[in-house]
Amino acid sequence: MSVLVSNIQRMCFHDGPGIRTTVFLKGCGIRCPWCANPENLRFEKQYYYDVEKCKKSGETCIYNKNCAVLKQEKELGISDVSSSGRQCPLQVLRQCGREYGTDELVHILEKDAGFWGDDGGVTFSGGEPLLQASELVPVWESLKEKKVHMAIETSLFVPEINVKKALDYIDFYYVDIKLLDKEMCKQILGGDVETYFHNVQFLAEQEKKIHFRIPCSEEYVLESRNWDAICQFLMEYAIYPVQIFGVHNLGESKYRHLGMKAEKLQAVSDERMNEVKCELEKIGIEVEIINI
Amino acid sequence: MKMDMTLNKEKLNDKELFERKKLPETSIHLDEWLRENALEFYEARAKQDFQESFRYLCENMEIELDDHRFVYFLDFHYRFYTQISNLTPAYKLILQEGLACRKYPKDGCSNDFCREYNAVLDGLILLSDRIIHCLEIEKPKYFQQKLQWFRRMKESGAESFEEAIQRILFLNQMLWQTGSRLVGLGRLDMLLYPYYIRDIKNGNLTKEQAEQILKDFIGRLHEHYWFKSNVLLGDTGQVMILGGSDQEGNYIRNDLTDMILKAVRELQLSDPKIVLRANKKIPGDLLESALLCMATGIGSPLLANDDVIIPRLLDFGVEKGDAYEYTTSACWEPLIGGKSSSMNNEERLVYVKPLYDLFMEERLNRFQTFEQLKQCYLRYLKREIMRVKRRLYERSYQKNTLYSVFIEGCRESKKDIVSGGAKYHNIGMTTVALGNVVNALLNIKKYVFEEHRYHLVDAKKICFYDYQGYPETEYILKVNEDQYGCDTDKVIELSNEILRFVTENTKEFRTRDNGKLKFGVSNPSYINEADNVPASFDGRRAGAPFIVHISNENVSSYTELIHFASSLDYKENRFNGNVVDLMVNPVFMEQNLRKFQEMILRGIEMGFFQLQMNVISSSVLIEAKQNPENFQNLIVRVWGFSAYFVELPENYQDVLIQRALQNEGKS
Repeated sequence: MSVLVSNIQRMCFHDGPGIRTTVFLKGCGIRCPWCANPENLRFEKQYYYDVEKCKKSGETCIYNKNCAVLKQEKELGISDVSSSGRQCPLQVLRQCGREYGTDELVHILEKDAGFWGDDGGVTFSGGEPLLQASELVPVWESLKEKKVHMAIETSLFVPEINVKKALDYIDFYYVDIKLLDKEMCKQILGGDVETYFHNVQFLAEQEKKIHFRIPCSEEYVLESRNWDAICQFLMEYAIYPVQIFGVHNLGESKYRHLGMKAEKLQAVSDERMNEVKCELEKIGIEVEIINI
Repeated sequence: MKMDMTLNKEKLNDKELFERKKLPETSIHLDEWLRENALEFYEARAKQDFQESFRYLCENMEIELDDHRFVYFLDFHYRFYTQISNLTPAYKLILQEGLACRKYPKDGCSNDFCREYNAVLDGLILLSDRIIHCLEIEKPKYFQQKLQWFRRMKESGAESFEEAIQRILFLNQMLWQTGSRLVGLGRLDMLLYPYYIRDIKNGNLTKEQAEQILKDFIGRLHEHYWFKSNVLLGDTGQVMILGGSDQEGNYIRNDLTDMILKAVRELQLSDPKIVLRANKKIPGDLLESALLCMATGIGSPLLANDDVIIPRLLDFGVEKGDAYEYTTSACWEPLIGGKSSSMNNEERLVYVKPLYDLFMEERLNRFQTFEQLKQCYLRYLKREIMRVKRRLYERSYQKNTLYSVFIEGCRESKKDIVSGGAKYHNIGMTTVALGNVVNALLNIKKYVFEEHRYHLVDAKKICFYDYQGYPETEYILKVNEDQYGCDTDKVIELSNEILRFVTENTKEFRTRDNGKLKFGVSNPSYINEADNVPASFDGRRAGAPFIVHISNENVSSYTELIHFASSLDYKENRFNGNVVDLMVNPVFMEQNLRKFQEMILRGIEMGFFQLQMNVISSSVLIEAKQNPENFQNLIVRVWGFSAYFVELPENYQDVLIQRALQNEGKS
C-alpha cells in the first residue's frame, strides 16, 4: 500500500511540540479560498511548470527537445500534464506528488529521528491527511512501534471511520476551524459542517490532545456571521488552546505554476489579529498568534 | 651577533600608524604590507641567535604605559620573523611561579638550549625590571598595584585574579612581539578560576568587579588586532576556550565561563573570540547564552563537541589527562595547548586538483564504469598527497626559545620546540574542496555513467571552456539531489571513502621529529586556493570559491546538514578541524530560539564535530557593502574567526552575501 505525498519537510518548528518532520499528503475534500498549499488539493500527481525558468528556442526546449510539457502545453493546459515521468533538470517542470511505500517513507522520516527528542516527532499535514488514513495505517503502526510522537493537521471534513483509524496512533491533533456557518461551509468549502462538528465531538470524547487553528481572513473566517458561529463553537470547547494566524498570499506562485488561479485576499493586520485574540480571550480561550 | 638592523627614523604608535598609513582595503598579507609600508623596521632576525635578539629586544623596546588597568604594549619597531604559529603557551607556568624559578640551576644547564632558555628568562626579568622602573617614574593610574605585580614576577607566583591576568598579558604580548602568529589564549575560565575564587572567598573581589576586569582584559587583547591579524584582518587566532568535559563525561563550567561569554556578547568586539567546548550534558542555560551571543551576529562562539573530539585525541595517542584539556590552534584545530608544538595548519590539500589532472592527463574513453574513474581519481589524489607529504617533511623551523620556555616538555627534554622538545609535536594539514569533488564525482556518476547525458570528454570540454556556452549544464550540475551536505547514503559513503583514503596515505607519515600527521575538512583557503583552480564538474566556474567547510545552503534543513556532518568519519587522523558552517537569518533565530537550541543540543548528541554560524540577513550585508561607512562595527564569521565585514576583501564579502541569499531562498 502506498501513500501519495507532495513533500517531506524536515526541521519543522511550528507543526507541533519539539522538532518535527512534516509529511504533506496529497488530496483534500474541501476547497478553502485561502489555501496556501494548492498542490495538495488533488488526489493525483501534478506538475509545477515554472514558465519563468523555462528555456525555449521557439517552441522547443533548448535542453530537452522532447519535453513533454512543452508538447502538451497547447493542447492540455499545464495542470493536466501528468504523463511526463521525467523531471526537468532545470526544475522548470517539477513533479508534485510521489507514492511512497511504508518502509521507504518511514526510512526517510527517521533521518531526523535524532533531533526529535522526547516531544518532537512526525506531523501529518496536507491536503487532508485523514483522507489517506487507510494507506497511512501501516506507516503509523511502524512509527508507533518505534515510539515516535505523531501529530496531525486536519480539517476533520472526513468520514468518521477515517478519524477512528487514526485514534490509536496520533498523539496530537491540530484541528482547523474554518467556516462553521452551515451555508458558507457548503457553498464555499463544499463541506458538510455537521460532519465536522461530529468529528470534533468524537475526538473530544476520546480525550485527545487538541489544539485548534484558525486561519483568519476578513473575507471568510472573520466574516461576522461565521465569526459568531466560531465563538459559539469555541465556548463549547473552551478547554482547548487556539492558535490564530493571518492568511497570506504566499501560495500565489504555486497557483500560477499549477495553472490555477489564486484568490487575492486582503492582508490581516497585526492590530486586527490582536483584536481577534482579545475577543477570544474574553470568552475564556487560551489564544496564541502564530506565523505560518 | 648577526642581526640585520635598520634604525628607524620615525616613531609612530599604532593608532597614528593606522590613520596615517591607512591599511589597504583589501588587507590580505598584512605582514607583507607592514614590511613594505608601515614602518622602517628595526628588524631583529632570529635566524641565528634567538637569545641575543631577544635580549636586545628586552633591553631596548619602548615601554608604553597608560592608565588602563593592565600593562600591555607592543613596540612595532621591533619585529621578529618566526615561523611559529597556531600555538598556545602554557600560561599556567608564568602564573604558578616567578620567572627566575623557571630557570635551570647552574649545574643543570648542560647544553646550548639550556643556556638560551635561561637567557630568555633573564630577558623577561630585565624587561619586567624596566617596566618597574618606568612605573616608578611615570606613575600612571593603578601604578602601585602594577608595581606590586611586576615586582613579584621574578620570584613569586601570581596571587590575585588581576595579577594572574596581568601575567597572561605579559607573556602574550611578548609572544606577539617576537613574531609569533595566531597566539592562542587557552582555557581561560579554568586557568583563572583558582585566582578568582580565592579573591572572592577572601572578600577581595566581587563578581561585578570581576566582570569589569574581564572586559578590560578582553579590551586590551582587542587592541592592535590589525597588527595581530595574519592574512585577513581579524585572523588573529586569539581564541579563548571555555567549558568542557571532565574525565567522567560531566560538563564543567564556572562563573568565569559565563562571565567571559557575557563580556564578549556585551562588548561586541571582533576579537578575541570564543570556542565553547560542549558535550551532551552542556547545561541549557549555558547553551542558550552561547546562542544569544551568536544571535548578536558576532560569529562567536564556535561550538566544539567534546564527545567526538576527545575520543579522537585519545585514539591518536594523546594522554587522557591532556586530551580533556585540549584547546584549539587558532580557529578550530584541536591542540593540546601548552604541551604541544603541533602546528596544525602547515599544508593544504585541494581535493579538486587531482580530478582536473585526471581530466587533462588520462585518456577518458577508457573508463567504462564510474568505479574505474573513481579509483583513478584516488590514484591522482595519492599523487597530490605525496607532494604535500614531501613539503611537510622538508619543513624546518627557526628555533623559538620563548615559546620553548612556556611549552611543557621542552624544559624536561632540554630541546627547543622546533627540535621536538614539546610533549606533543605532531603536525596538521587542512584540506579543502571535499564538497566540490564529491559533487563533481556524483555528477559524473549520474549524468555520465547512469543517464548517459554527457560523455566524459564532454565533461572535460565543459570544464575547459569554463561553462561558456553551457549555462544549462552549469545549472543542472548544481541541483543534483545527491550533493555534499545531503544525508543520502551516496554522499556520505563517497565523502567517507575519500577521507579514509587520505588517512591510508598519511597515517604512516612521520616528521623529522617523529610527529604524526592529522587532517580535517575545514580550511580557510576556500577562496584563495580556488583562485587558480579551473572549473570543476560541480557547476563551479574557474576561480570561483570552493564550498565553505561543511556547508550547503541548498539542503532542505539544518538538521540534514548536521546529520550529514555527524555521519562523516572523523576517526584515526581525521580530526584536525571539521566545522559545520551555518548561515542563519536573525529573524528565524529570534522566533525559534528555544527549538533552535534544542536542535543544536541534539546535533551534539548526534555527533557533529564543530559548529559555527553567521546570524545575519542578506539585506544587511548588501547594504553594508554598499554603504560601509554606516556599518563600521558589523561583525561576521569568516574562516574560523570573527571579523569586521567592511574590512574584508570584496570576494569574501560576496561569498557571505551569496550564501545569505541562498539561505533565504533568494538565489
